[in-house]
Amino acid sequence: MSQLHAAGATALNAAATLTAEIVLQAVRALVGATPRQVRVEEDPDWGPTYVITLDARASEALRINLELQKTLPGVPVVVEWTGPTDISNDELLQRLVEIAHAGGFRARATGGIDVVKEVSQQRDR
Amino acid sequence: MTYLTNVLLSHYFVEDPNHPYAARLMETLRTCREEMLASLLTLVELYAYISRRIGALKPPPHYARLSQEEKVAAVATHVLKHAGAQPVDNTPADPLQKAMRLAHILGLKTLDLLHIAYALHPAERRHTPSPR
Repeated sequence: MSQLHAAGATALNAAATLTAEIVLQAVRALVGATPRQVRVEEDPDWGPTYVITLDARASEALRINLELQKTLPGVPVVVEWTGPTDISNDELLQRLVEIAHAGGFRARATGGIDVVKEVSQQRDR
Repeated sequence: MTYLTNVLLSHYFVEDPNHPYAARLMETLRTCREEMLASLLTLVELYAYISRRIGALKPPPHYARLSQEEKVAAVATHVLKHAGAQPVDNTPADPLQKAMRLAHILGLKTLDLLHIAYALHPAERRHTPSPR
């Protein structure tokens, strides 16, 4: 059984490495240069998350993030920037929603959810 | 025109037991090219619901660096975007006055009454002939 787990972990690592390479190639194609950093963070809820740091301003970094999520739906890609944040907080929020939506990511409700029941209680039914 | 309330949340959360029904409904509305509207009151309910649950939700990794308050706003905005619903620009006083006039006719609890008034407001505005 432990051999099976080890084989599974190896396969997952290989998949993550391969995906990282695909992400890097997509970034190079979009930016026209190698990003400052690409790292893979293991998110307990979303699995391997690809965090890319660009030498760019926020608006440009978020534009690239949106293109990446359209190119790689289902693969969590987060772009950070070293340049100035040249957009308002409201616009930043709108753009992040657009990026998450483009990638097909929605908030998950762990531990069960029943909207009708909870809203009925809220409305005192 | 369709006025949407909490079906938006059931549509957004795949874990909700009513999600399949909500998804089917929204698909039908889209197929019929129905205009989907959400009032300020619906937005308040979305924010209230998500705020109470935000600790138990797992927002997309893109929201990781947002504050808790911003995460609530992002998820609420995402709920609307996911459905393709448009927020209605209501003047708050109009539906409230309408709700007061409807109260004795409908005999509903406050929040349900307010939703009816908010739903009627854009529909009535649309069907009122413009002055010549």
